Amino acid sequence: MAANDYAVVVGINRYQGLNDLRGPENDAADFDAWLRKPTGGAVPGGNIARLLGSELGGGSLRPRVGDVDDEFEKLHEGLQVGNAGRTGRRLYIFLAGHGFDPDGTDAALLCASATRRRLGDHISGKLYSLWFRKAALFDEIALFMDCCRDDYSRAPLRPPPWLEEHRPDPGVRMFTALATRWAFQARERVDPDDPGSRVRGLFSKALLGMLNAGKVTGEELKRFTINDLATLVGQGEYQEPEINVDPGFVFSEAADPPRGTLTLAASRVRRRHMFRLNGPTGAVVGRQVVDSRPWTFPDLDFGMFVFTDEDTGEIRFVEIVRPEVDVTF
Amino acid sequence: MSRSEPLIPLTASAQTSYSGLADPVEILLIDGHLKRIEQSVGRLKTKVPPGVYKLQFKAGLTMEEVPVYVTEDSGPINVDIPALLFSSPAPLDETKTTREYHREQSENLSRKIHARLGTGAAIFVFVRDLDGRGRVSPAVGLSLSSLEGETLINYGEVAEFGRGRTEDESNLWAGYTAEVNPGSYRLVCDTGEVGVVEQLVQATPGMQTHVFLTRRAFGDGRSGRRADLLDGSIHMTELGMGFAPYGTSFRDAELARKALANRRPEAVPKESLRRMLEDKFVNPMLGLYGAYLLTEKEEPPRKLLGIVMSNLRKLLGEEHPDLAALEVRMAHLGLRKRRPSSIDTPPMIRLGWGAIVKESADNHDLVAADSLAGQVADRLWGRGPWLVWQQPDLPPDDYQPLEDDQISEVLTDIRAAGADMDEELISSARLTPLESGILNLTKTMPGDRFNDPDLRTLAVQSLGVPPTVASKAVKSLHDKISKHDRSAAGGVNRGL
Repeated sequence: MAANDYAVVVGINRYQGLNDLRGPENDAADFDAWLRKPTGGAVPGGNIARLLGSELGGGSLRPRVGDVDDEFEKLHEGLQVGNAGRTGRRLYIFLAGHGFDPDGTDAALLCASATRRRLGDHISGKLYSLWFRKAALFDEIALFMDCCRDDYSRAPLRPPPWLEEHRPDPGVRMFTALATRWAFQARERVDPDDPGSRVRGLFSKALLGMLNAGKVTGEELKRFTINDLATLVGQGEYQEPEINVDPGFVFSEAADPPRGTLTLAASRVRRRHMFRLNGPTGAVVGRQVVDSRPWTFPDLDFGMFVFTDEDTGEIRFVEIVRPEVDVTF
Repeated sequence: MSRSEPLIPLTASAQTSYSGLADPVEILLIDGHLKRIEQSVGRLKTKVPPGVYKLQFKAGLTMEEVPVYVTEDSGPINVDIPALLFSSPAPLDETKTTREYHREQSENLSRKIHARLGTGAAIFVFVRDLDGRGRVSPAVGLSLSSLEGETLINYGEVAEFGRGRTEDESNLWAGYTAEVNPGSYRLVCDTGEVGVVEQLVQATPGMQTHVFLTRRAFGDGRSGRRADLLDGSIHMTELGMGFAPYGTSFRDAELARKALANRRPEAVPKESLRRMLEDKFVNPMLGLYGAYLLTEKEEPPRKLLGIVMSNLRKLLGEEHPDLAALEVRMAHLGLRKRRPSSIDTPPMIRLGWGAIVKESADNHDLVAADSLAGQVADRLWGRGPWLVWQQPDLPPDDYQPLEDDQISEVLTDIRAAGADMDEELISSARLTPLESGILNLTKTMPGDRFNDPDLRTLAVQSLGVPPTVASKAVKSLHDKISKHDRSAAGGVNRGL
């Protein structure tokens, strides 16, 4: 258990003055579930502040800025902060909802009370994570933001409301993952792979797909998420995440490295043909005649593979970036 | 990879009908573990061990992937994809966003003179829509001002505009050429949703500056679409030559602009960079781009840069703000001893501004706070190769820089007053982002640092603006806070 890890998770679907969304609370709930999983973030439940709009009471739409600030403050108060800081190991911040970015350097989550004229009701991902970085309370800070980065330059970013705490040795490692590039939008869609056909943010889906797949370094998480998001977004659309990683990050530490199961079904015309599977480095993984029964390869590394129909010489490329991949050739 | 594994030659390129010309198509080679192992622009040539790979070809927002399976028996592998057309605000031939009627109009209008506001140089502005939804001139909201801020041309009112002759040719265009005196001008765009933004446009003696823009929605787009300065394509030709949509130098300039935007000199192949520097006599913007790109290299070539700078001075004159910025940048990199003593006009290219701010940490008075460069320092906006800023407020007439011995006292005052202000009061004081930054610094900085001789250098590092600009903001912050103190004196104390 990562006893010294903490998290603030926010998902907002309903807004006072902006169109409602359907995915952020699902994304936040999924991230929260990954955080609690022993082979995921392994964060103790008591260390997680979960703020989902539909789960918060009160007469008005929430969370408002004060709700989020209160959770950060509780988290801060709960830490046994000495002069040297560094009482926690890692702080996760996950923010999903409407967002904007006034100048291309940040992403800000709009809180439920935001309207088109009231963009000041927001949480700036960068300023908040930098506050904690300067305070040096944690060795690592991981910020994930699944929101748009519309360019409202007249809405200045609101800094955290607390007095700055500046401790020496700001060598805090940062992992910052923003769902999209500046001035572009982050998309959500009905997830065809979800048993309940829920709406999910494409970035959150790609991100959580990787986090749930197994133990990954920060670099691997970046690489796999970018690859998978490109596939999820599809042709003709554009959403490229902006991910910056300091070396040394490892996620889902208690899990095994990500492995996938690949299943090949031969089309009618190829039945009884001899197939060969080569792995990422070209090494032969297996060779077999395939009839009407699918051929399954468990426990494969994530990466690119190639099937060869040895009877015809034709090849088929397969990319494994999810635990289960089915191919018909 | 074991030592016995053969290395197989792999070449990838994106075709264009411009034989031998590199296009700004970025090529990435990704190995079987999905790790990026090589990248280049236009053409990629390498050797790889057997394995599974994929090549990604990217141009603008278009991407094409080609998987590649390399075996020990593979001969040299060549992957050539058909032209992957890139997007450009300039209606260059064979780009994704070109339109025949935009090419025709831009050629014609760039050779007309619509207004004579001066003599010796010209500025051609061409704005276009790309989605057929436009109903009014795409130049609405766009204007040209003098360096002092006086509006000279309201393009929305005077630019020629129209669309094609057939129903399919529905994307609006607008263009206007003005003869002007050589010098610096401000291209201004009122975006509606996100305010008024500006950038510098330089008119060079004997040259015509071409500015190509496309429109996009700002914010949520409720105010309509406006010209996007951040993605502008700027070129220069000799006066009277006009714009040539088929010209190779314009095409190379787009490659350089994209490389500069990403600060990736390695994204430009050597031969393209060489051609860029040779071609600067046709389109001096190429020389400027090339010079900036050379300074971005790990080991900038001192001799080549010296030659390029000397040629650029002959072409652009001594007054070009980007030449001054390049000189600052070179001095900062130890490539040059002489450096400008003052910078009043901001450069066109953002990389140059970064050099000026860094230099101001040593040369505190490099940027005068009340010059245009000083006024825009804390108002920079957006990302990209161009220095774009939000329109500054008019400078106060009575601004007097703070003396060194006043700063410590003023900062102490600010800290004391700031500690008594809650968020609401701070919000009602309408502090600029720079003033808020200073207020936060005073709260966290030990008081004895206020006398620190390195305070100005610290201002550059912490606030990202020249010390003169920080000092001016300290004064205005002090004035605002003092006003609040006075207005709060007779009322209820809402302090902590």
